[in-house]
Amino acid sequence: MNFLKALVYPIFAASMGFGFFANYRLGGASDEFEEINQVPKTVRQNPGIYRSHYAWFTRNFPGGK
Amino acid sequence: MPELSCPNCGAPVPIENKASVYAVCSSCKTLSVKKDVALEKIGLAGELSDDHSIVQIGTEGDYKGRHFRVLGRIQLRFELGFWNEWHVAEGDGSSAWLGEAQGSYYYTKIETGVDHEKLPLLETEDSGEIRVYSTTSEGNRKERIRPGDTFTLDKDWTLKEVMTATCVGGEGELPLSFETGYTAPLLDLANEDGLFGTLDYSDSPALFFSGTFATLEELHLTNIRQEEVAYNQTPIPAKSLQCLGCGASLNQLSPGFSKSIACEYCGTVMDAENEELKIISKFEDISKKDVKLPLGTKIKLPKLPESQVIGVLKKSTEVDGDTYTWTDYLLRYQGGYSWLNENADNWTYFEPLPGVPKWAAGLKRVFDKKAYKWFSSSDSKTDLALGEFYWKVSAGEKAEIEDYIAPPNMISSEKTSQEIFWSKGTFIPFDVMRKSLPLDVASTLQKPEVVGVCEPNPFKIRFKRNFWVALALTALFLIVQIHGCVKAKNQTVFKGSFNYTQTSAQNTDIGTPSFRDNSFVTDVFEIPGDPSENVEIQIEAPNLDNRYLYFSTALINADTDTAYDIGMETSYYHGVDDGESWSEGSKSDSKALAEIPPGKYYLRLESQSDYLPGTGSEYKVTVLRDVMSSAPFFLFSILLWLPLIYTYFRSYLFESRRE
Repeated sequence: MNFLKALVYPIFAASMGFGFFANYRLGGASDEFEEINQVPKTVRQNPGIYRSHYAWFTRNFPGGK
Repeated sequence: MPELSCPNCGAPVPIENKASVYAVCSSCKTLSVKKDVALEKIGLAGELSDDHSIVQIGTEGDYKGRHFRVLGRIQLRFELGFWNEWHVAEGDGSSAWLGEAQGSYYYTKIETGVDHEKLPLLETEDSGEIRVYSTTSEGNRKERIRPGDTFTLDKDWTLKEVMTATCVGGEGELPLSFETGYTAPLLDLANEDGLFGTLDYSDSPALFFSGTFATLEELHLTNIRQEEVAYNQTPIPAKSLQCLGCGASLNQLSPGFSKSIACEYCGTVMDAENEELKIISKFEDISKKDVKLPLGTKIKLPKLPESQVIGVLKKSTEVDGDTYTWTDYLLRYQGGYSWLNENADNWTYFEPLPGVPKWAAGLKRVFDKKAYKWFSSSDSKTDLALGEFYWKVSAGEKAEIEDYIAPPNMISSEKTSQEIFWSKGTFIPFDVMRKSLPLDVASTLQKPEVVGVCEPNPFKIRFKRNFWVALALTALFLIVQIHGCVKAKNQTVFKGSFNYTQTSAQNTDIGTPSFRDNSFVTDVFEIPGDPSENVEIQIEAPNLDNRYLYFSTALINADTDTAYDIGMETSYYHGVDDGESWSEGSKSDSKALAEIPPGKYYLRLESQSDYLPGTGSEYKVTVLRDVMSSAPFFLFSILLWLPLIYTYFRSYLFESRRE
């Protein structure tokens, strides 16, 4: 039992180490942004179309593409 | 080697050393003094007692690189038994003394340069008690010194013990004369540098010997006495006695060692030093309740010799009106003795400690390079004695006790008017204690419910280990982080300034029918580099004042038509409440997106704010490639240290429960 108790912190510290290195690899950046494929080329001419396309996209692909 | 003849019997009396002036004839015990090339009889040496010493004339050794050979000895009887002063000659012919008592050794030399005026003065009371006084520079009596007090001779010394020894006899060749039956008052001294000293008042002025404590291993003895008769090897058989108080039959387990025996049935204490027993004291309370190790119990603690309980002392102290009790068990093993202390079911093994531990800052004592923190001071009273003891035990004996701890060890001093006795204790865990005892005794032991005086603090041990783990990982994180920051390119790939003007009603959500689209796209810009590198988008609105600006931001790849969609917000509010100024939020925001492939990109920005229609603010947008945030370092380092606060708290609670 004491042996297991003694392992709690080293395991926790190891998980902190993994967490740090995983984040370090990304430079501290988040990968939890929304990625949207097939944005219409016309967005550059009509920026407002992006939102309607996005609404269409999420309607047609509710679970994501 | 000049060989002289005994003036009494004519037997050859060899004298090897130039320092030897006196010799005892091995045949007829005549003590002679050397005069030119002949010996002159001056007396008769008494018959030496067999003290089972492993040293004998002719024993050789090496101590701290000095070779020595034993030439003679003077044997004395004192409180604990026999004490030998072995006269040894070193390789260069100089003379030294190897003191030997109860398995302890002291390697000393006579100090001739000491200022006799500075020697402490002795006064013997009518009761026989010897009082010791320090002296003034003129050699007059100054103030009384008690065991534990320090005085200056050639250096600072602590008075350890005041005793009287009786000369039993001598043998071999000696640089000093002696007289059988002569009583010598002796002062045992020690100092904080590990030195040992003896002042022998049998001569005038007193003889001063100083040197060091030595272990048997350090002496590297050869040509010692045969094993079957030597001190450490031969068990001495128990002896049957009849109690003078109640007539009960008692077993004296260690006859050569014990000086008094307390009857476990009636509490009568008898002087066991002589063949004829004599009552010296009586304990009224003879309750054996709480005596967990009966007399005669054999104990085998790990890495220690097998020992036997020969005496039990129940003691108590009063602190702030509360009485605390504990039990001390005197253990005897071949070659020495030790103590087992039981306090609230916690067990501590004590061994005699040579010397006087050093004082250190912060009310600490240092012994063997280990610092011990002061724990308690109290007066102890002996409430019950059962069995045998190496001194003449008496009811109500009092002593001053001081404890210093460095778990799992502690050092304790017990001070009486005649002696200060230092011992070193080691905490014995309950399971180890139980395994060291016979089954019937072990089964009666209770698991302790309170924390022992020198019980190791598991949380402290854990805290220390976790501290080093956290420190090492934090240092590693820092090094890696610094390396990452230095390596990061931080390349600005886009920079632009824009104006926001409110076109919708206040607080209208983006995408709702009443929201008036104000979205726009930037020029296309190049994001170079590796697909694993990140991109940071920064927005700053320097004129923002008690307003917010929210941006629905999309970083769109012009070639692949893939968008990375994020929300960004700058909001800055400030004011004065009850005369105190406050502010919250920030005029800038940044978001870093991981693993953005290189290519041609543009930004689509759609904004929302609480500005009034027609009003707005300027804002700047910057896009950076390959940035390194310090957030991982701070986040994981802080998380790493948080559990230590909990462990420290548990450790503190454990310490506060130490009794």
